[in-house]
Parts: sequence; structure tokens; C-alpha cells
Amino acid sequence: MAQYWLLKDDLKDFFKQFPHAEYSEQFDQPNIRIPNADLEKIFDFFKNHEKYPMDILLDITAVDYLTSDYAERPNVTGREEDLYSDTRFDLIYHFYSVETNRRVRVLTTCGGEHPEVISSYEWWQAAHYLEREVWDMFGIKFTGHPDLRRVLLYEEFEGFPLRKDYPTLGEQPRLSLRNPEQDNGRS
Amino acid sequence: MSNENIPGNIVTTKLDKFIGWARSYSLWQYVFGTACCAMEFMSVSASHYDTDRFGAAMPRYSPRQADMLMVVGTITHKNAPVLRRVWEQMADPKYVVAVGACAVSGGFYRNYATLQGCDRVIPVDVYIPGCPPRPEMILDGIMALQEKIRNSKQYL
Amino acid sequence: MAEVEIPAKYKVEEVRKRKEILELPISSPGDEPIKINLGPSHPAMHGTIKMIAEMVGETIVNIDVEPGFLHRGFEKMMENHTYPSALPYTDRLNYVTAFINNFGFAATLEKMFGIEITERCAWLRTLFSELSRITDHYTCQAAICSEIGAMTPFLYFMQARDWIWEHFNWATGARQTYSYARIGGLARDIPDGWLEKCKEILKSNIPLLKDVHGLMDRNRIFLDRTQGVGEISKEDAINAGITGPFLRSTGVNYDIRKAMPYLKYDELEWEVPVGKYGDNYDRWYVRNREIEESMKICFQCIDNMPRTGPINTDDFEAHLPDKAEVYSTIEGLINHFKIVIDGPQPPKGSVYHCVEAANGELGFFVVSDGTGTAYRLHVRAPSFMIMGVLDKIIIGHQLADIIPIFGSVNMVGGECDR
Repeated sequence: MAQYWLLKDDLKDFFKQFPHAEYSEQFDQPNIRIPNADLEKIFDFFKNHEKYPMDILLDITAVDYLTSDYAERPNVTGREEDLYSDTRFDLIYHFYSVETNRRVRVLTTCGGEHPEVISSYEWWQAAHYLEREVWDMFGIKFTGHPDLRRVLLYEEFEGFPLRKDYPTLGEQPRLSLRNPEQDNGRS
Repeated sequence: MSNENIPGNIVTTKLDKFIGWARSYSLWQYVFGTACCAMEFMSVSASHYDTDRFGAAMPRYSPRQADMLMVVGTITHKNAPVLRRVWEQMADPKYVVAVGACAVSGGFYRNYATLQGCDRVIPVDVYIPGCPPRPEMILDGIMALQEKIRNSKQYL
Repeated sequence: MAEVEIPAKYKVEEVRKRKEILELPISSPGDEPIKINLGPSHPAMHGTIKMIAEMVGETIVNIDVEPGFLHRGFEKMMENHTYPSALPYTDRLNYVTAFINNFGFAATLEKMFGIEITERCAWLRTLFSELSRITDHYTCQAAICSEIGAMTPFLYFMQARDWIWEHFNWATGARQTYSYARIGGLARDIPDGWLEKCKEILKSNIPLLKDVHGLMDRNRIFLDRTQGVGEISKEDAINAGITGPFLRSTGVNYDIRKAMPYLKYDELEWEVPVGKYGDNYDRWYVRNREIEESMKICFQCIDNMPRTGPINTDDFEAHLPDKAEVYSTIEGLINHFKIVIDGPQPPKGSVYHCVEAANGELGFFVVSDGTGTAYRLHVRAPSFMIMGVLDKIIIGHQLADIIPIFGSVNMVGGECDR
């Protein structure tokens, strides 16, 4: 399966252009980690690559590592200062090139009190609803997105459910709920 | 109910029983279908397990014309006001059937997004468990509702 | 099945020319658009979705597609369950093709553990996946037909689908949500006589499909409602991240079963149907051809599958050991206990594995922290991507065109909203 991913040899020009990128391999799949500021150039690079043009943006997702220390990941420490650390979230992009059948995974970090990242809507329209979902679930804002609002949850919902500090049972009902055992009959 | 002195083409009964019989055999349903159970419901209303033979064939997609609301599938908190509004728009007498574990009690989705049973927003008459229930169970539930209607006091 | 010759006057260019002639002026000065809500509970919408359409006259000038009415918190539940107990949740993602979701999830975990599935298991998984794909396409086509108003194909498809579901019931115990996969194998073996009966059932489906083709394929009403409607170009579809029959109907030959073969797909003879114009009719036709190709694969599986052999792997790191071992040896008991209570523990790291579901590329992205519970499990849903570009497809069409367009998207709520 590794032959369907772009490995280190295929990305020699990438690492020349972005020397701060880190490369690692897990389960036969390469991970490319880049600093947050380079995202715009990375999108340009991959979209307009001569040999492997990445024309499909498959997926954007995020992971909440509630810790600022890389070595501790992914164990949640739950420290107060980690809630606003700069490396709280990992943002993961998956790209695919249809003609050459190659995939790429790019990781970056974001964090802070109001995490913000540049949007990839200009390059791939697939980012339209994918970024809305990441905003809905994690609270990461994407600058440049035409219409950033909640997509899977309702507008009155407060908080971001997939963050590790949001409880699983944190229900926010939109109506006042009735108690079926007491309110027998019609009401 | 027939007497030797009364000719054979006259039947005496109570008004309640007569109206109950009529109402139970002409249930017009509003299928509030959301999730996997709706697929099972498509099978129930098709030719193999027919709901037409219970008089409950016509899915009336307007709440004003329906008298049975079938809640089929998971109800989320996002969808709860919609369900309540549909129920309020139905005219009396109306009956509610909760089909599937998610509509009965939230199923195995015990989290921030799922309403733990549709009886938290509307009163329910018949609960049909299962994930998804077999079509025979849904038909059994409709028959139980029919029996409930026949045996209850009918208001005009 | 024979190639259907479409008469020239029904070809897309002719239809488009006719529609231009009929183009009446849609607005006069002072016309403001009105907003219409096609709400979450709607008879002609395939699932719960809300669309707010701004229309001038009958033509849509703006539309806002709002999914999420079936968001059940799948990804949050994954963080609280061990891997095997998370399996029933994957059934309910695309609830009409529960096998493909199960096997995709199991394949992702087998990748993390480095487990190889046995020969017989691979054949069975291929067979079940293709039968599942057939039932999904039946459901989608039935919904399109019934929403347009053709009730007869709906009933025929439901009958055919019921036969296959009852057959699944015989093998797995459930009609719709099976939870049949295990990490490294399957839950149980198929009973005797199952394969022969399967062949009979598929053969008996063919006359029903022939009837539906006769009713719909050259039907003037159907062609008018689907040809030239809901068109999307190749570049737009690729840019929007769409995969699956939706993309193949625009002319792009991308199918994961051929591009990154898994299970037994590279050993069997079958083709990928590809459309031309990317409109509703092409999507209908691509799905019909896919039903035929899947039947071809099923027949080949039934003929070539080894009749005996182990279903489950020998690696008991992630798979429960045999009950005989559990009850007689102490190692088996401890192994079983550990897997059930703590969950199988893969090495740390993240992995992304995708399979070809009936709607496109279904991907599972798992981040593991070394314990038996996933730290993060993300599902890349194929029908969610189409929601983003649906407004561009619908704008310019009329209100009644939304119904066949949305039907051919095959949005399954459990997968789109997770």
C-alpha cells in the first residue's frame, strides 16, 4: 500500500523548498508536518505540482491533543495552561492526485485562545463544507472561507463537541423536555 | 348483538365501538423517517410485508391529513423542534408510534446530540423496540395500536 | 444486458436546445425572490436535510443546503468505546451498505495490527461487499423512481432487495445492520447451501431489473426529467472532492477497487462504468451498470471461492481466541479477558485507509494512543462532499428539478452527518 503515497524520494523538491518540514512514517504511510505559516505556499505547491498535481482535497480533520508537549502526545494531561497552548490542535489534510494515483498527508498545528488558519477554499472547493465541519466540531476558524458557520449542529449550540474538554453527555436541548414517566396522557 | 326480533340487516352496537372500528382500520400515517429504520419501513410498506392490508397504506405527507405519526429513526436535538411542530399541526384524534430503539429511548447514542427518546417531546402510544425492528414487529405494533384505538373512549 | 439505443431526439444536446426555446423570462423589474423551505421532514427528500431555496417564479436563484439533522455524535462515541465495541456504530454510518463500512473499519484496524486475513475471509468479504453495493443501488434507484412518481419500479426494487436481505438474515442474523466483521476475520461462517441459494436469488433478480429498464430507460417523462438536469463538469466534480458514481458519471475513471486493489478485486474480471455528461440520467445509468458489474463479481466469487478453510486469523492479539481454548487453557482465558475488557491495543500512530463504498471513497482515519480505545476516529464521508457543491448544481434549475437531483446524490443521512 505504500506505493500509493508520495514518499521521501518523490518529494525531494518539496523538502528543498520547505526545509522546516518534518517527515515520518507510520504503518507504511508518510506524514509530512509543516509549520502553520507555510500553509498557503504548501497549497500552491501541491495544487500546481508538475509531476503529481493534487487535484482532489479528500479530507480535512483535526485532532485535539490537550497537551503542549509533543513527547507526551497523545495522552491528555488536562492541565489548565494546555487549554490555550499553541500546539493544542493538529490539523490534517489529505490530498489525492487522480492522474498519477498518489496520496499525501500534511499535518500542521494550531492553537491559542482562538485558533485561526488560512482557508483552502480558493484552491479546492471541497473545503467549503469540510472546513465548516472542523469549525463546528473544534472551533478552528478559517480566514477566507466564504460562509463559516455550523453545519452539523444548530446555531444555538455553545461549545465545540469534539474537543477533549467537552463532556460526551453535554446535552443542550432546544426544547423543554417532558418527563415521560410523569406526564402520562396528552400534553 | 343481533336479536331474533330485529331483521338480519340491522346491527346494534355502541357508538364508541363503531367509531373505534372505523378509526382503527383507516389509519393514515405521517412517516417522520430519519435513519436506518426508515429503510426497514420502506420494506414494510412495499409488497412483501404490506401495510395496505391494515388500511394504513397511504403515507399522507401533510400533518393536517394524517392521524398517525410514526417516528422512525433517531431524533437529534436539532430535529426535536421540527418533530414537535409536526405533531402540533396534526388534528385530533392523533396517535404516535415510536419505531426503533433510537426513537424509543435514544438507542445506543448516549451523547450530546441525540434526544433520548422521542417521548421527551411528544406523548407516545406504542413503542416498537428493535434495531431495526423486523417488519413483522412493525406490523405487530400497528396491530397493537389498532387494538388500543378500538378499546378506548372515542371523542367526537 | 443489451446496450440501450437512445433515440436522437432524447440526446442531451437536443434536450438542451428544446429547453432554451422554452425559456420564458423569469423575472421582471420589481420581482423579488421568495424563500421556500424544503424542510427536514419531506416526502420527496431522501433522508433528513433542509434546503432553503430562493426562487423567482419557478427558477431557483439561490439555495442553502443544511445537512446535520442526523448528527448522532459518532466520532465522540468512538473515543469512549473499545475498537470491537465500536463496530456496531460503523454499521449505522451508511446503513444500506453496512457490510462495506464494517469491512473498511476492520481493514483499517488490521492494517494497524499488521494482520493478514485468510483466503476464504477475503472471498467472503468481497462477496458480501458487492451484494451490499447491489442493495444500496437498489435503494437509491427505488427512491429516485418513487420521488419522481413512478411507484412500480419502487415496488420491484423493494422486492428484489427484500430477497437479498432475507438471505443476509440467514447468514448473519440481521436484515440491515449486521456487525459481521471482526478484526482479523468474520463473526461466523456462512451456513451450508448459502452460496447456491445466493446464485439463485441473483438470477431471479434479473427479470425484475429487465422490467424496470423497460419502464424507465426510454420513458419520455423520465428522460425529460433527468437528461440535461443536474449537470456537473469533470473539473468541478474533482475540485469539489467528489468520488464514486457521481464522479464516474462525469467521465473520470476513478474507482478505488481498481486504483488501489484490496480484497479480491484484482483477481476478478469486471469493468468500471463511466458516464459522459454528468447529469442525472448518467448517474442513473452508471448505477444500473454498476449493479450488473457487481452481479458479475458475485457470480465469479461464488464459483471460485474455496468451500472449506479457516475464516479467522491465527493472530490472537486483536481477535478473540476459540471458545475451546478460552474454557480450557489459562492463556486463552487471559487473552479473551484482555481483549474484551481493555480492547486490542495497537501501536501508537495514525493511519488512513479507504474503501470504495457505494457513494464513493469511504475513509477511516484512526489516531491510536496505544490503548484499546481510539484517541480519534474520523470518517471521511463521501456524500458529505457533495453537499458543498449541491447549490452550484441546483441554481438555475426549477423547483421540481431538485427532486431527481437530490435523489441521484444518494445522500444517506447516517454517513453524511455521522
